[in-house]
Amino acid sequence: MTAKKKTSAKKVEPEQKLPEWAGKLPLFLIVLGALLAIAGVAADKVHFTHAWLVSFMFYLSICLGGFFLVLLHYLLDSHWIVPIRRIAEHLSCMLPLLAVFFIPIAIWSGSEFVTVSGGAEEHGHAQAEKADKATENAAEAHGERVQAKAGDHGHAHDGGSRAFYSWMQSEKEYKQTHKTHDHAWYAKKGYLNSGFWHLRWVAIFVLWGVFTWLIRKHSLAQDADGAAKWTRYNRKLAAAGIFVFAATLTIGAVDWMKGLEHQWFSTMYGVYYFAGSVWVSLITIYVIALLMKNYGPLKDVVQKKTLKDNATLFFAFTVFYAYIHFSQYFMIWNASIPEETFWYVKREQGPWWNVGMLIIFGHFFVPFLALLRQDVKVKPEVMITVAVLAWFLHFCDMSYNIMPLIHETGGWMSRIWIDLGCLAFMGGCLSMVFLHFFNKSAPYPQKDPRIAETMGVYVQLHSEAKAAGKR
Amino acid sequence: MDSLDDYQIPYGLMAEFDTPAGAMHAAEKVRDAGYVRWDVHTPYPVHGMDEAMGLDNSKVGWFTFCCGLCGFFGGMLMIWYMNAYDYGIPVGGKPNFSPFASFPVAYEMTILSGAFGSLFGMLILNKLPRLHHPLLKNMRFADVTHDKFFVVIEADDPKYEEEETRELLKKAGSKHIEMVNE
Repeated sequence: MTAKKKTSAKKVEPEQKLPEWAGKLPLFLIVLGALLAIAGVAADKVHFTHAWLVSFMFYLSICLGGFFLVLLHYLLDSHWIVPIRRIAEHLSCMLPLLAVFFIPIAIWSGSEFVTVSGGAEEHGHAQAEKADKATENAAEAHGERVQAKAGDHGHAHDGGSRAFYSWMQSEKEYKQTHKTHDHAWYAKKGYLNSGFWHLRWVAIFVLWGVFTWLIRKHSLAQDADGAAKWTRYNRKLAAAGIFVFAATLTIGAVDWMKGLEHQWFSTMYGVYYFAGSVWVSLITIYVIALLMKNYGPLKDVVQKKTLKDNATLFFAFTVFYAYIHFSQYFMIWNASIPEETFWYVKREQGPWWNVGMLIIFGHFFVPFLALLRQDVKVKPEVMITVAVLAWFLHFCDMSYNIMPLIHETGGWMSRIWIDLGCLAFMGGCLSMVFLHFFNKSAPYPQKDPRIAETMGVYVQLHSEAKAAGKR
Repeated sequence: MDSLDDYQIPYGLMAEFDTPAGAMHAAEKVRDAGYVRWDVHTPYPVHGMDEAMGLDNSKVGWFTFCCGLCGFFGGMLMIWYMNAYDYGIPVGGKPNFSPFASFPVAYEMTILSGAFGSLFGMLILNKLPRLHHPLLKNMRFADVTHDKFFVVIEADDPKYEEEETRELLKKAGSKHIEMVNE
């Protein structure tokens, strides 16, 4: 207790000044993004809906990573997170607000569209796989399958129509006719039904809202009075929160991204999204912390050591992501079951082969080899380059999951400006919210019990001072 | 008049400190004075001592990296040689050699060789194992495993002058300075 009082007395009032461009940038991004997005709706509505989803999943990653870091701090009492915890708290508090961006996705879900691209090669391949299936179930007429549900087995066919979340189409059909050819959906309909799906996303956003806002509320309350009880409250919240985090993240990733191809199986999908999320979030927090250190607000709080620890955890997640994504691929490759392989087979066609290679090298090898040395972890020029790479690669990773659905052979690159528009628009909105949060509260936890320790300030305990006096 | 001491070769000056902070500040002074052949001995790792001593990042990482790399490619080569070249084993219609199937094993080889690299690299850089060290026969130095901190400047150091060095260590706050012989 004595230690804490002494620290607070030492604290200097932080200058909260950020450069002028920081205030203007969000608005610029919003306007630019909105213009591109509107043009995107006009040019290619199907691509736009998927680009919106890519962008949503991208920013969701960053906010979820922030949430994870906050939980990590309270669970493990790690002092190095303290200087950057406010940044992570603000990021996590944007989670419930992301519901605004999710609502359009919920509205679009189930709406049908005619698939646009899908070349001859893919068609041939799809036919072969279909024939394979057909032998299994001779009762199912081949032609009927194509007509009935182009989305079946995840392959788009010329002229076939399929829905955004194609299982919703199967569900609708089943409700009307009480018949379905989509066995993959039928077997999963206890989980994959519209009512439950909508209930799940509402519940997820509510849970995120409750946990993130409560934790930040306590953290801000501690700024005022420095009481240890706030840390204890948050520890309890974090203990429950880590389970909520794991469950909601997995359900979110499965429902919103994997659910696009409901025929597929992967038990690693949740942890795969988690690994990529924390990875990209850590480098984002690193860059924000670095900027705030350079521009003042966190000048004395964020130490070289803080940045190094942050970069080290990022490095660890580089390896972790590679391990998880490799394992997912390896299991599927090794088992070689068509129900699973089709997902990767589709992603080894056309431009997706290159994107896959880009993920192997850019998501793992380049950052891994670049960050092996200790000293580069605090070199701003290296880390900012890695950050740009990480953002780009995470975008590629999200696109790799979502875009092959509508662009089997190509067309992704020529429409990528729509993706960039969505990214700019959401990024602008979110950075505006972030700056609003940032301006409303202190830039770092002012009276956290571990703030002195992390700043490298040695605070003499009362008992020690007494003992020294006696000597 | 010949006593045993006259035949002794000096190893260096040993200065004792009571606190880690004392040893750290002394290390900073010795570093700034430009000594190169010297060391600090503590009962436990003291954070910040590397910087106080002006030590660079350890070179052990290079041993780890190179051995790890050899382990990875060695593992790949081994699997290719055994399963694809020397005695091909077709499994489930898959290619005899595939980087995917070999990766887990090659990865384990990376870790194993990397660990050996770290261990032996450390031993080589520290010139270990060795059977004897002059400091070990000093009874007072035994406290280094208990609660004392020692800064030792070797007589081999080009800047070493007995009087000057002793003065420097005294100024750094040592209450006990002793000459240690080979």
